[in-house]
Amino acid sequence: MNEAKPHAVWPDLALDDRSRLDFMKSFRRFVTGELQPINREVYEKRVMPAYERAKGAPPANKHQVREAMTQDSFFAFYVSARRSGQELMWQYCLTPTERQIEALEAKARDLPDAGGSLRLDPDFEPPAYVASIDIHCMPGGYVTSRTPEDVTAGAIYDLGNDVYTMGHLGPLQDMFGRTTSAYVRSRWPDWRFDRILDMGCTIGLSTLPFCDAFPQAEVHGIDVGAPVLRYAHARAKGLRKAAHFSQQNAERTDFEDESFDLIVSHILLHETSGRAIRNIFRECLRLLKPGGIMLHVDMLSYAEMDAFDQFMFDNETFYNNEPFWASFRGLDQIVLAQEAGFRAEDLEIEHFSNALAQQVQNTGNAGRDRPPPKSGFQMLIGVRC
Amino acid sequence: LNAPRLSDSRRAAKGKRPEPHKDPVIDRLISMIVALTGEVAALRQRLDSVERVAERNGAFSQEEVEGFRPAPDEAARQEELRRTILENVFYLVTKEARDIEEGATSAAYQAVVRDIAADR
Repeated sequence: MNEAKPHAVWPDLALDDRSRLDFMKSFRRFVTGELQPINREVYEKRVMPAYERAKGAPPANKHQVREAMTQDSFFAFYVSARRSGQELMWQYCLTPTERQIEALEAKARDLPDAGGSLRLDPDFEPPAYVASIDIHCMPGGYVTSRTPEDVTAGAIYDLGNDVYTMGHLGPLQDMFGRTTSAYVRSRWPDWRFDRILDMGCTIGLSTLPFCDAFPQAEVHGIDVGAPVLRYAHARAKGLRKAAHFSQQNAERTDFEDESFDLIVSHILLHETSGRAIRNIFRECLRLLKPGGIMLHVDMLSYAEMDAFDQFMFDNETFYNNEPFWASFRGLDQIVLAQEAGFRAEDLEIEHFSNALAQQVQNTGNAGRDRPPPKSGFQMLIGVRC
Repeated sequence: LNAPRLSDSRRAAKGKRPEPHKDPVIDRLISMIVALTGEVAALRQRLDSVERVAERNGAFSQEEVEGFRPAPDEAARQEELRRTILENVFYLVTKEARDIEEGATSAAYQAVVRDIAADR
């Protein structure tokens, strides 16, 4: 194998594995780039007029759009194609990973220490919102350990995420972390960041950029899944980054009060629940030092979208095992953060694309980083007074 | 070789699958077609890789492959390969045509079942 691996625990991929993953990237580009937009045509030219004829008025909200669109054969085909691709993608990731799982476990164990750490909790109970169904159809989810030292979930997440985002996150899939860390640095240039926490870090894709952006800081990543954390720790060792990973629920951690300067999360909130989000915001408030910053990147709120786009994004909940996605995007995060104790004047929502544009400008890597197409992200920013 | 097993539940995600079509068979068919397309794409890529490796090592060139013109017996074999694929892929269509030609109906089929059952 002479292919350049992004890091030491990235699974070995045979020619057929690579070819299948290449195919899946192309297939996803085709489904999301070419099939998906046809749905709006179908809706405006065929579905909406028929609905209007039958009911006397066009669909007024995302629920009525869904009622109408789910009767349409093109939409049904699109759903099948997209869902089939999603499931097949994970099979493509599992096949090479299962073949070399013992070698990956050995590598994870034997890689030399890089100053970071891993702390797992054998009695940990994962919350229902990740344990009841496997989010985005990843078999076993984040929390299933197939063997005592298992890293399968981490490995297939790493492979699958690269395919799912069609390579848009860069070779180390760290676009989100690089962007948020650069944003924080440039916005608060005088703040001394001694301790940083990344909540819901999975395999640390967005955690490690903080080690680079803030070399003097102690960087922590927490997640509910043991196998993804084992992989995160091994991946960090391979990349020679000192990050501290521990198995904890972001709703209630064992860190001390006022012990962090910065708390971030990247596409975590929509995989939790309404109650969990409130708890997470409260926990951020507890953990932040006075003047400390909380920053959560997640999907754009539905407030800026028409009923059809809302309906299309809701498909993640209906067809891709994302139970909280649809209701999450209707929530007002500013209100929730206020309920958790943040002051209104210390809270804001910023478009992620602004931070990304700024980072691309600063680092001169235009063309390399762009957010995945057909989706938008926002950042909730809160400062503890 | 450790081929994955169909029955390995750890390869399937927890959570009820959606049923977007009135007939669930359609969804299964689309899923199979997507998977088959993936296999064809992987095969195509392997073949292309073989050709590139051969060219790099001087075994044979891309032009030689492109310029390949089969000798008569080779052409006959290739026609055979194409026919086999067509017959396999369009089996149902040809079967239907044959049924019509032979006047085969469900009623006729049921009659045979009855007759044989009665032949005790």
